[in-house]
Amino acid sequence: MSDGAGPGGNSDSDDLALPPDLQASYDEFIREQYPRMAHIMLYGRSDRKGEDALQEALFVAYQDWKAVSTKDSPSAWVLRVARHRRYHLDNRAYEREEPTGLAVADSAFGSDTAEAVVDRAELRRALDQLPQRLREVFVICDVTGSSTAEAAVTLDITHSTVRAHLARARARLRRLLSESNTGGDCEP
Amino acid sequence: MNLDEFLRREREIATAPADELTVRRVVNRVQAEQRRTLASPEAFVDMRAALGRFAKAEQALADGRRAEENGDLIKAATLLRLAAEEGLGDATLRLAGVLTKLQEYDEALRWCAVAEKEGFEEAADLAVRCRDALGQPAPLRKHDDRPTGKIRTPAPIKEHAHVDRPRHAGRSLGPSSSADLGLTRRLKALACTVPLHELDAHKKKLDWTDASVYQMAEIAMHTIDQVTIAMDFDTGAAHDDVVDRVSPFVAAQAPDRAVDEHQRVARWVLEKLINVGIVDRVFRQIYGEIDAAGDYQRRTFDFKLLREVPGSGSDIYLRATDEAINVLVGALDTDVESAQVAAEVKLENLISRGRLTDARLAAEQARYRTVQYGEMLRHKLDATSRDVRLVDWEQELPEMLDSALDHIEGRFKVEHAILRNITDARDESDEPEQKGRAAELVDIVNDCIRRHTQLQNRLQSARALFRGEQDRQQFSGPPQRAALNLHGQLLAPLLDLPIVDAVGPLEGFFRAASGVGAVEAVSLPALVSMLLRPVADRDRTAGPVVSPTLDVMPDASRFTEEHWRMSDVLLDFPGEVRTLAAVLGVAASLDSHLPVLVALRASNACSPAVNTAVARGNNSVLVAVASGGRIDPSRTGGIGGDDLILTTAEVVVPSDEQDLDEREDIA
Repeated sequence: MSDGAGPGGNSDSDDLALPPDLQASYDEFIREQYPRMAHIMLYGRSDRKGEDALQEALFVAYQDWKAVSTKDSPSAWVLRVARHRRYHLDNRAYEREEPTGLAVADSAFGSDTAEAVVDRAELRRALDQLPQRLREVFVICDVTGSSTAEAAVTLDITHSTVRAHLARARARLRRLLSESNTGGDCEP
Repeated sequence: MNLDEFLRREREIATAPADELTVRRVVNRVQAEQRRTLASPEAFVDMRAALGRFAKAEQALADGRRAEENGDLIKAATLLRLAAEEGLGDATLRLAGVLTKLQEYDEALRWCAVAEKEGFEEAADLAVRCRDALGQPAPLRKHDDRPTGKIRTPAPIKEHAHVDRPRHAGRSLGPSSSADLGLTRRLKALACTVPLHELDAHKKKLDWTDASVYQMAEIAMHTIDQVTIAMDFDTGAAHDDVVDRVSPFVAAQAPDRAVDEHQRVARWVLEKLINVGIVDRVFRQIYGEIDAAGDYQRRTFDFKLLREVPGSGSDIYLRATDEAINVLVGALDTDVESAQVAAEVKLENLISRGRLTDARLAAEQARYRTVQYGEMLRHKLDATSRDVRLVDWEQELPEMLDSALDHIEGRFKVEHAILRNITDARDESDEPEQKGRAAELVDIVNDCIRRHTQLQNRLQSARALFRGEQDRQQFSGPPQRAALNLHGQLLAPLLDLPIVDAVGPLEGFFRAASGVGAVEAVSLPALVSMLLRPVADRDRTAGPVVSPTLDVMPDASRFTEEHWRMSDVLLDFPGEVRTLAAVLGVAASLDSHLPVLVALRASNACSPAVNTAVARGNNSVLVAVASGGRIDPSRTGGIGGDDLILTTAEVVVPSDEQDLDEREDIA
């Protein structure tokens, strides 16, 4: 946690704050984990709150990287913080300046064929219709390929709940996608 | 869209390391925030406060879970409320559960709504209980009891607030049935039987027989029964086998009908169960339910009863689906393992009490359970073959395999014990009927043991299958050669080229794509072998002589007897000489075909067959020589050419001493 390990503890002359070895470790963490974390936070969401929440969580982790990097799963911790931030962003009047940086949400997915872009848009539309938990479990397990155990740690729920949510999410998604393909409207 | 394939590609992207540009961008943004923090720390007070709340809430969730497990519900509710307000983990659902146990239904109901919105469907059941306890109807409008905007913090627990509220037994119409999954299950179970009832409803439409005598639903159940019993782990029942097995049952319903008709009825029922005629062969039923928001929703339920599965070769066999097996055993979504144990305990009791008729039914049910259990495992292994990541091989499946092996071990013991009991019952019984029933039971239990043995073999090889599939799917690496896009890379560019330029690449592709052609050449070893092959023994007697039946030859001759007679008259002029043209002119006046015959005989007369005339004993022979003139076709019925001089010469039979050459000379 950030208590007592804020930027004030670092060199005043160097506003980048982290010593070189920790900075290298942080860079490596971003290199290895960022695509997965971006998928989990941004996938299937049509707003930029997820991006902001992830950015804030990464910032918090950066400030206290020495402690965070020794956790069992730093990425799970970052994602839990990001989810918490996201939860508060969802439940308050969202008045922030428009983002000016590059669109991380799009660039996070690499260069794709047109077909993949269309498929992803279709899947996102279907994911948008899922409740938050089901969407998160599906993205963590099926889109990023993480295990259900990792999902349980990231979402702080039991393993069996993850499995149940995953099964429901898959079933609903298949139904939604098949409906969108056939243009049917038998489901709500 | 192929979801599995698409997700596989997405996983590749998500698990690939970020490129250097992305890393720099993220780190730069973090460092920019850092600079802003240093410049104005007060801007981040909110964030620090939020992080403090997050840390406390995480701790509260962990402590709340422990308190709940220890039975300290009041403390659990307090801690879980803290976590739930921060939206952590499954705090909302747990809090709703704890509040329900504390009979704080009002607050529980609100947290149920929050949990349900998050995706915890279990909260719907809790909400039903709370509403029942409060005597509230289910919300009929969608937004009742739903949090809007910021989640409202429910009122805290009032100490000693337990008031005896009126409880309503049973189910009220709109409210509680809304989220009752049991109702959906029963509706689905009912839907599975619809195709069977429709068979009886539609049998009157059969135009090839009067089907009123047949009970089609019974035949259908019997058919599903036979397919289920014939199902193995890998194979199923062939269509013809099923028809053959069901036909005696059909025959029992209408013994006076022909065997062909029995077969046809059995096949008709089988095809209806497969749902031949519908493209995807799916039965589709519409059912309705009231959702958690109180709205009536129509849903479709797609299912199959029998499905056709391709075998290892070109054969296709039938397997009963879970729905069909459920229709048979009369339970939907039952825990297979518990049901299996229950069925066998029941079976053992019935046998020990000598109730073999009931025991047979129970044994058959136990067998269906065994089949169902096998199907469950089969699905998991099939999913592994498709994509090892679809199945959790780290925890879930190893646990399931171990429990399944334990289960099978237990079943072996029980089934062998049952088998011993029945065998004793069979041997000790004096009544032939009792003996017969016991013998049937022995067969059924033996079948169960056989199936369990098969299942055990498959379970033991499951891990090897996983490792093999993992090697194949995970470590095989990307394909070495890129796939060729024939349309985009070859056809479309070629169509834009002139033929002269297009032929070259096309020939190159064709030569490479069509492969090596086999040259038609005689193989010397094959030829030698063929030549040295001993002649096959022939039958000494070539079999009975077949007398051929001959058809009467049609009379295709151009000239009639009359023509021949008339030509004889025209060409008989002893001692006279006439021209062919003159004779043809006479012939043409008599008959249109006659000049042709006359002309043919005249041209033959250029080389008269003297010997033949002598042998036949003719007195004269026609002789012709060229006259040097031409025949005018207009006067001779269309016959033209060189004119001939004709005469009839007398045949003089020579004396015996003259040789043959001389005889011809005389003629």
